[in-house]
Amino acid sequence: MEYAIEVNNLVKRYKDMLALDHFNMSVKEGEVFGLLGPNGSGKTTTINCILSLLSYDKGDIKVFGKKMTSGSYDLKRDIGVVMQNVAVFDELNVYDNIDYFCGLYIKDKKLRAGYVEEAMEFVDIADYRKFVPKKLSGGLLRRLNIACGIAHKPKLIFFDEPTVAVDPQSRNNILEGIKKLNREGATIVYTSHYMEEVEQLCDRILIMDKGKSVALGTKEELKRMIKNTETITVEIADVTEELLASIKAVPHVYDVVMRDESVKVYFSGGSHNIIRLMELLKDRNITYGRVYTELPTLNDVFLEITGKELRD
Amino acid sequence: MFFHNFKYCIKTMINGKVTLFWTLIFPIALATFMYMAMGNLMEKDEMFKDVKVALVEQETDNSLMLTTLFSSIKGENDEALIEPEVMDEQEAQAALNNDEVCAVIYSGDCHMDTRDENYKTSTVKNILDQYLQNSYMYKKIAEDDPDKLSEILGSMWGDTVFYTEEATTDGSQDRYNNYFFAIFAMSCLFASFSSLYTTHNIQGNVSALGMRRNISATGKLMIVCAEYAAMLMVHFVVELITLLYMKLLGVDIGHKYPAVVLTLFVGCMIGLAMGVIIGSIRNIGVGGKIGIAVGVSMVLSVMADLCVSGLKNMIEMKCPVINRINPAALITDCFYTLNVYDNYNRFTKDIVTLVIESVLLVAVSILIVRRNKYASV
Repeated sequence: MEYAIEVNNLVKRYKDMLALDHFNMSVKEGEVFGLLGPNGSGKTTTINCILSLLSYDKGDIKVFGKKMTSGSYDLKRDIGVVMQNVAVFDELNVYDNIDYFCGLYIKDKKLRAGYVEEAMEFVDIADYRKFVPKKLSGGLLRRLNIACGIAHKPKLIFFDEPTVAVDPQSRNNILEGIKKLNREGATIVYTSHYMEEVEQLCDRILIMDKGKSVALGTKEELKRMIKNTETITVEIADVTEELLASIKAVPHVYDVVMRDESVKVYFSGGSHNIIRLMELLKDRNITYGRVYTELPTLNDVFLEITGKELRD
Repeated sequence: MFFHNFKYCIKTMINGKVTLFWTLIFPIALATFMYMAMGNLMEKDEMFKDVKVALVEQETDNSLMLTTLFSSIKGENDEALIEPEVMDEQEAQAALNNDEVCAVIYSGDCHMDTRDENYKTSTVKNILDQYLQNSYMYKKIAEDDPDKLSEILGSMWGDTVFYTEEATTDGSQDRYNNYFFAIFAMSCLFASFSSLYTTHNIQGNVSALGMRRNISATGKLMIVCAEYAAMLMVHFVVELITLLYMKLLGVDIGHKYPAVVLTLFVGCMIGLAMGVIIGSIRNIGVGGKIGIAVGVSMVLSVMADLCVSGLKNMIEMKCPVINRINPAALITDCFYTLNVYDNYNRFTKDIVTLVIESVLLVAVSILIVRRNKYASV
C-alpha cells in the first residue's frame, strides 16, 4: 500500500503550549482522509507542518515516500491547498487569480489556460470570470479559493475547513466537487469540525484532541468503538421513576435520561429495539408523543472518548 | 515563472488605484499647486528689476537730477531697472503703504522713506547715498578750487571699474526649484507603498496570500525578484511621467537628461527598498506599516525642503551626516548638482550612496523574510 502522507511522532510547541503531542498519521493514496477535532485540537497545525510552512520540534514527515522540506518543489508541484482563509488578490479578477496561482505550478501557458478553464467549470464560477473578489458573494469567494488551490491538478489536496461561513447550497457544491476530485484520482485530506461533512465525505477519519490522535478508522469502525449503538427519544409528559426503571430493564438498554419532557433511551447492541420499547409503553398505557431513533454520530464517539462535544 | 510573476505584479499595481494615486496623481497635483503659488516668485522677489520709487518734488533741481540718475540705471538688455515716478507727498505715502512703490524719496534733502528693509531698498539707498556724497564733493570743489574740477571729473571716470558677471553654469539659480526637486524625492519614496504590500504578501506568517505562495512550487526568491523588477519598472515610468509634467509646467531641471533619468531610477530603487524593509517589520499589520511608510517618506522629504525652505541648509549646518544619508536629501542634491555644477563628482557620490543604501535595505529585509518555515502562522 502506497502512502501519500506519513507523519510519525510529530511534536510542535508554541512556547509553553504543546500543539502536537507525538502525533501520528498515515494517509493512503487515493483516499479521502478526514481530520476531525474541535477548535484548537491541532488540525491546521498538522497541515501546516506537513506543508513545511511550520517548523516542528520533533518527528518525521514524508509525502509520496519522500521527506518533505520547504525546498521540495517537485513534491509541492503535486500538492494543492484550499485554505481556511480566502487567499486571493483583490486587484485581479476571477480568471487572473486562478491563472496566477496555477502559474506558480505550471509553466506551459497553453496547458495552463486549459487548466484554468477547467477549474472555473469545476467550481461553477465561469460566469464570473471578469468579476473581482469584492463583487463576489461569500460562497462564490470560497469557490474561487478552491479553484486557486486545485487548478494545477494536484495529486494531493488539503482542504482546511473550506465550508466555514458558506451558504448551504455552496457547501453542497463544494462537497460534491471534492468527491469528484477524488473520483479523478486525487488524495484528499479534509479537516473540519463539522462532523456531518466528514461523515459524508471521508473514507477514514482521524479524530484528534489536544494535539493527539484519539481515534482512527472508517465511520463504522469509529462508531463501533463506543457503547452506544442506537438512541431512541420518546416524548412522554408524565414520567415516573417506576417507568424509568422498567425502561431500563428493556434488553440492551444501558442508560435512560429524562430531558425536557422527553426520555432518551440508550441502547448498546440489539435489533428492533424500538419495537420492544413501544410494546412496553403500550402495556403500561403510557401516552407518548413523537418517537425518533438516532444512530450514533462522530460527536458521540468524540464525547464518549474525550468527555466533551466536538462543537465548542 | 519570473515573467509570470512580473506580469501579474504589474497588473495588480495598475488595478490597485490607491498606489497609483499616491505615486503619480498626488505629486503632480502638489507640483501644480506649488507652481501656481510660487511659479514666478524668483522673478518677482529675487531679481533686481522693475523697482518702483516715488519722487516727492521739493526742490526742482534735485528732482530732475534724481529722475535722470534713476532712469540711467539700466540692465543688460538696456531695460530700466528703477522706475521713478513724481508724486505729491500724500500720493507717495499712500503708494508706499499699498506696496506700489518700495521707497519714497524727497528731492529736497534726498532722504528716503521705506516700509521694509530688503535688498531693493538697500540698493536704492546705496545709489542715493553715492549721489549725495559725489554731488556734495563736486559742489565743494567747484566752490573752493574750480580749476581742479575738470581733473577730478576725469579721474572719476578713470576710477570707475566696469565688470560683467559671467556665470560658471547655465543652470537655473532659482532656489524655488528646490521645492520641485523635493516633490520628485517624495514621489520616489512613495514607491515604498507598493513594495510594502508585496513584502507583506510574501510572508507566510502574516498573510494568507503569503501562505499560499510559500507552499507553491515557485521559490520565494524568484517571486520577490520578479515583483521587485516589476515595481521598479512601473514606478520608473510614473517618475518619467512626473518629469514630463514638470517640464510642461516650466520647471527648470537643466539639460543633463540622462543623469536626471538615472536619478529618478535610483530614487525609485531606494523608495522600493524602503518599502521592503518596512514590509518585513514583524508584529505590525498592513495599516500600521502604511502609516510608517507615509510618515517616514514625508519627514525625509520635508527635511529635504519639501514645504519648508532652508531646513536642509539648517540640517547641513547642525548635523550634516543626516543630509548624507537622507534619501530625499540625496535625490534633491542630485538635481541641484546637475543644475549648478559642471562636473559629476558630487552627483556620482550621491548616486553611489543611494545605490548602497538600497542594496543594504534589501539585504537586511531578505535576511528577515527569507525564512521558509515559521515558528507560528
